[in-house]
Amino acid sequence: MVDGVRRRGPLVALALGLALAALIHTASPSPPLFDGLPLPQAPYAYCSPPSNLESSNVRPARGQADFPVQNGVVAGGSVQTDESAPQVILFIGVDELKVSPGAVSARVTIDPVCADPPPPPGGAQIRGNVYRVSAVEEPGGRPARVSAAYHLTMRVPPGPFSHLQLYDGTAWHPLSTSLAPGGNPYAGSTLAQMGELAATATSGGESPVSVVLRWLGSFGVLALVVLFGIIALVQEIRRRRTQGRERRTG
Amino acid sequence: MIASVGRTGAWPQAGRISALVLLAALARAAIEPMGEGMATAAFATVLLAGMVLTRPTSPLMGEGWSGGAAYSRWNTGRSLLGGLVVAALIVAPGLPALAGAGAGHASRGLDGWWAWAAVTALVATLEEVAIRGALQGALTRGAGTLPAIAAGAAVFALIHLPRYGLGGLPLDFAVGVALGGLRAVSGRVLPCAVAHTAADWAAWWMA
Repeated sequence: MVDGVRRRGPLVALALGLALAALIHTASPSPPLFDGLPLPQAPYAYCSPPSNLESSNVRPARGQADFPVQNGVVAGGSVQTDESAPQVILFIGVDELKVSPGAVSARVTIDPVCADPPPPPGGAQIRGNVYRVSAVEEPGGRPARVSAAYHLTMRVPPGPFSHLQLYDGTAWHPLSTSLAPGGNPYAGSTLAQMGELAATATSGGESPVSVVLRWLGSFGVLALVVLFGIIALVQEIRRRRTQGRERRTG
Repeated sequence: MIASVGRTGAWPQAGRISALVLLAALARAAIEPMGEGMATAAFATVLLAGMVLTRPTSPLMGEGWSGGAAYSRWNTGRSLLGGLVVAALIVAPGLPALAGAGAGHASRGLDGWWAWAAVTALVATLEEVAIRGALQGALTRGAGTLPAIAAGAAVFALIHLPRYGLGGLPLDFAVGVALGGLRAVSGRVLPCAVAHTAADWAAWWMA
């Protein structure tokens, strides 16, 4: 009996593990990535791509959502640009937008400003696209007012980056910016004003340290793959030689 | 070699291996703000260092990364096939739900696939060598097959905690139990490495 359990135990564990995984997968359809690098994202969609990306560049998309007004309160929600890896995402809480009496909804729009973007801020360069974030009430089309801060997440193209900035029609204003963990190319900020937004970096380009770190991040892993292959090959050769010697002597 | 390590040395050995694997996961989590590439490189380096120490003569891991192939009735062909079947069984249940959710998995082409797949295979294989090979091997000698499978699955789930959070814990534990069972059934690490790698690769089209 004990021997039977001992013999069947591994098979039972295998079946149980698969059944549990199937159950969890069915309940929550997450892709089964346990390791490795995160999945590569679609390339950044530029309004004005660098020359080497011109042929493959896809134009950036816009985003729009209507938030209903119930009892005078604008419902919260999120809006994002319509790409497989959204380049701008807004989170607006309940009652954070104010509309006139009689409005039935607030329309929030994110538009890439590809024609005539504002000039870059002094001492900084714009990284990627400028996006115009706006909210109007419906019907009527009057601007909705931001009564409390909303959150914006913006994708940053590869290369240098320092912080997000807001252009209010007259000047750029630096925003307190947080970076997504795990080296994900997203930056976030909480702001209380609609306007034009952009990722910016200090003029003068990337520091040598960040260039080296980026290079190591890209090619260091590949170097490890090669190293792993060499070690595995050497181990295998040594194993076969040892086996051969044992056969000859045994 | 298995006999030479002995039952009494199995527990300290399992402790050292668990510490090494968890240290690798902590190194990855600590370096993650510098970028995923750097974090994965750190994780792989620590595990790779462990793997180098898993030569059959190594006092650290004893049985080594050959994963008991000499004692298994599963040859390489059977190991590959078995690994692929288990990977398919891990992946398949999630497919209908993902298709229903309209995931944009079909849009990803093959640009960058080879480098991504190589790194993913490397990390998955290193983990299987350390957890299913060395750790489960040592614990099987010290505590028996089923506790070894459970402990290996727990370590497997724990090392993914910083990356996927508590939400990923049940799935990682369940897959760890399945892979541990596969290791015990086959007597080899190879089918586990194949299953783990193939399941990871499926995410290219599913995520």
